[in-house]
Amino acid sequence: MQIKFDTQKKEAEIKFLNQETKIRDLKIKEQASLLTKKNYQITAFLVLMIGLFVIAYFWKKSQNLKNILASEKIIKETEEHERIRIAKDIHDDLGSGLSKINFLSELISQKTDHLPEIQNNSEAVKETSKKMIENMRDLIWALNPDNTTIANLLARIREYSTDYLEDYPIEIQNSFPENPPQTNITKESHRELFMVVKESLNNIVKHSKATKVNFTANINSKFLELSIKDDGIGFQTETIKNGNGLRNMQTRLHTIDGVFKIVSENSKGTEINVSVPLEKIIK
Amino acid sequence: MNIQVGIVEDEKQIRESLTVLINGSEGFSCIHAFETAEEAIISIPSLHLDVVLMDIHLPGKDGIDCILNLKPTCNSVQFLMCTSFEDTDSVFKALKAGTSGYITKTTQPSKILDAIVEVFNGGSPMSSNIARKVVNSFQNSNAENKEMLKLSEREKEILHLLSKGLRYKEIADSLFLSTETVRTHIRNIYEKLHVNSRIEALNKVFPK
Repeated sequence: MQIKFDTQKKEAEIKFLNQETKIRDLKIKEQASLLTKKNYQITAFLVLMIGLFVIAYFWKKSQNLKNILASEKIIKETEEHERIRIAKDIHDDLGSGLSKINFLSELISQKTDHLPEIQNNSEAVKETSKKMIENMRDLIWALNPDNTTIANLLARIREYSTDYLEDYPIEIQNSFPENPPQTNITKESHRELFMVVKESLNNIVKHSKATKVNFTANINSKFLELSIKDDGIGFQTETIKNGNGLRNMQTRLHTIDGVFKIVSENSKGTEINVSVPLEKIIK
Repeated sequence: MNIQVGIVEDEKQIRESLTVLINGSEGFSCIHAFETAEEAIISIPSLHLDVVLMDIHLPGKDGIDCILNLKPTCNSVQFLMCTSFEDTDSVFKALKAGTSGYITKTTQPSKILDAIVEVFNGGSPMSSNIARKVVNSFQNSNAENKEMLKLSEREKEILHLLSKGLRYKEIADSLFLSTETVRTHIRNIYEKLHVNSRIEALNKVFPK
């Protein structure tokens, strides 16, 4: 009886112990599951953080790139601005000095009719200072990017030619394209082309004895073409081909891959043809 | 009758030479020459001048300021700007301030006299660059001004041709007008430009 009771008691104890173990196991399991849950949370959090970090990194990088591009643009604009500013300063300073020289030499010329030698020299001073002023003005003009379009170049050439020949008994007939493109061209090509026109007109006034000039400008899909034709005395092209002025024009056009052609014959006038490939001059 | 010319120029030699040139030419007389804009602003309103040659670069107030000050009280005086170069920006500012013309200092003396006669007779020169600036200025001005003083179709046409490099005679020929009529149109354009810029300036000072 006693034994049976003992056994029962022990069984009850074992049962109790078993239950306790089970409870502990459950508790451990619960804790473990809690731990894995926490682990998941931590991992998710870490992944999110890394993700955010990566996004932030790339965003920052693209922002940096944008900043670099923006600052490069600003630098370029500032450079352009500075170039124009310096040019303008020089132009104001040298310009007023040169125009004073020009003005005063003109006065000397006027007062020295009886002293031809002095008059010749002062005329030379006057011409030189005038040329310098004009060159400087052209330079400043071409520095302003607003000015260097095909349309503005043609307008300037047309205006210059008409104004220049107005002082001489030479009639000019212009034939220019109706609506030339507002495409930007390089300032070098702008300058060279304008200089060639100036030189050609200067030659006409100085040497040709012409009374009429036909100035034609043309623009097609590939070339910009200028033709300046006069009805003057002309010349044997072989004899003057190596003259300084003509060679200068050739060199100028050569730097922008242009072609310069001169057709002339004694007493049959002169025709100057200039052709420049657009792809070489467009910015 | 002599054209009464005044001069505002800080360079002594140029001022004196211009005076000599003008007094030595028939039909012109110059008895008032000023060294600074400040002196000119005080004196010019009480003088009966026809044309004033104004240097752009002056110590203190510049030529443009000087014209802005004088224009409201001296409506009958024509201002002719003298610049070292045809610097489009300052020339345009001068035109907006009320100048009727400009010459560069490399202009030959005989042409200076021509220019004086021209502005005296109501002519106004305009280059292709200036024409482009004028067009832009009218396009950019606010709607209210446009209503008050807009360009006529003819004026727009003339500006367009000018901006392409055509000169007065060519424009006259292509529009079947006389050169004189073209000149009148250009003068009216300048007048509108001047009034518009004055209204704009007032609007800035007294915003609505």
